[in-house]
Amino acid sequence: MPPPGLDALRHVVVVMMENRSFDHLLGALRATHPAIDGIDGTQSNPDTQGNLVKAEPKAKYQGQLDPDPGHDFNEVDVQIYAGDTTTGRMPTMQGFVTQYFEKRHDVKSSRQVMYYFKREQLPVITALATEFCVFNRWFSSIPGPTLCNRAFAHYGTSFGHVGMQIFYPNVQFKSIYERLQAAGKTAKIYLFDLQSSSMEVVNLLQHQPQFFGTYQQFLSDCANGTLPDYSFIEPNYTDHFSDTGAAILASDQHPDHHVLEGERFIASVYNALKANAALWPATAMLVTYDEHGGIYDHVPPPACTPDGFVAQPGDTKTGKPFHFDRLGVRVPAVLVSPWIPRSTVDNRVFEHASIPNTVTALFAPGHEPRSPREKASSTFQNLFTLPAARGDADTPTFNL
Amino acid sequence: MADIKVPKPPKKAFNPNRPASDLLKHQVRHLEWAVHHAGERRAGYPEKKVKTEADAAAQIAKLIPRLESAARLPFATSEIPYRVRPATPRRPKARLKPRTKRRSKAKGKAKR
Repeated sequence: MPPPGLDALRHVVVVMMENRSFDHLLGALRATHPAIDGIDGTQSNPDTQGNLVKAEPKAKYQGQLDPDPGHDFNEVDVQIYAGDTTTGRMPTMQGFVTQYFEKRHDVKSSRQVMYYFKREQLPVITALATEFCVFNRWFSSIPGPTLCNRAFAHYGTSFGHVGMQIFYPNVQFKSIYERLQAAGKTAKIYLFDLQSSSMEVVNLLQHQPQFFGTYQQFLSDCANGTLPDYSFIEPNYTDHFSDTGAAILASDQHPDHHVLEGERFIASVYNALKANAALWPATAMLVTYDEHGGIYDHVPPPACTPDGFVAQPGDTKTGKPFHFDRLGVRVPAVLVSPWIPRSTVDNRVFEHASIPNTVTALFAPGHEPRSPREKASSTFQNLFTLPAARGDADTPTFNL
Repeated sequence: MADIKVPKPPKKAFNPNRPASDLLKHQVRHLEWAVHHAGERRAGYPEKKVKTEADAAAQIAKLIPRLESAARLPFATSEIPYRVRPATPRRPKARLKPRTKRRSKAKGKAKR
């Protein structure tokens, strides 16, 4: 018999932010919540002068990570393996500072990639992590940049890509949106607005526009009780002016966008769900990040089931092919539902393919074919374990 | 549980003249590719270079209506109403006692 929370679950909402590592955003929580695998004061990286640079709670909302730390496949390879290219090398996570040095050739600024936020600087993501469930081992799917990682959230695979190039999906593996449609369910990608648009340009925006809505529509759908079974929300990717001339801040938290605006965006999604008393206990909200953005994390990415694709050396730029047999760097991931006990910490290994895997299990069970990586990934539908949903007063509310 | 206050970023955080990231440049490149037909792609087409985030946002807004699927896309843009608040019952505000003393002072001043 499924737990009551799973029985009540009607909607899954995923918010995928940009380019921050687990330790960078949530590492400080270890001090108050020892089960959360964050920073304990021993983590360090060498700089280019051989000095050890400790991870320190000195992160700022804006201005420290400019230029953007490297996160192309070959750059992440250096961060994980510290430049070791030998056979049998081990992921030591010792190459972040030296890799960032390559961007500015300034030793002092290269150390800033080790900085993490104090808990009180991030009232939203830290409250959600400690009030609901935080995943200690949620990794990006590929040690590489945005698009290939986001593809895993939509398709359970990147179809052999490790970069930002244009690709069309292998028709064999349908997107999670098509799967749900075929199963008689509903799904939507909510982009922020026209100027921000979507990162899923060629595959989804161009060919499957029926799955798109705006963030404004998401808010209306929450208020009106018309939220689809599955929603994927994209933040605002640019600082721009609205139609009415108002300044709109980027909310994706991609360096060097102001991190607090992303906090407010996450809180606005949460508040919109919670504002509808019928919707709130029937919804699970997952907040995660597409990749680490070149920012330090101390947990070595584990090996994983190969994806059946091979990226060629010309694409990896490491001189070697990649068989999609190792995950990318760890990212923050938090699951929110009133059916989840406070301070839950999940230690299983997850990756972005866990999203379509879980949503398929919930809303389109039995759908095949799916990528080997997706089928091997963990699912999170077992976490709604409370016998009754927590009341409004027992869950946080954000004052924006 | 008390409300958690989420501060606003300072006004100076807004910088549409910030150089466009690789991510945004790729997004624009993909849109340019998507709005051209196969023949045009083969022959090559001029790519608009975006330098700033404002450039990228403007170019994205310009290109999206040129997608063949544009008629089926949501075009509405608007400011985000961040102040969505959960419908938590609030305690009715206690009535303030009339400030008789201050009123009488004011009256006095007015008389002068």
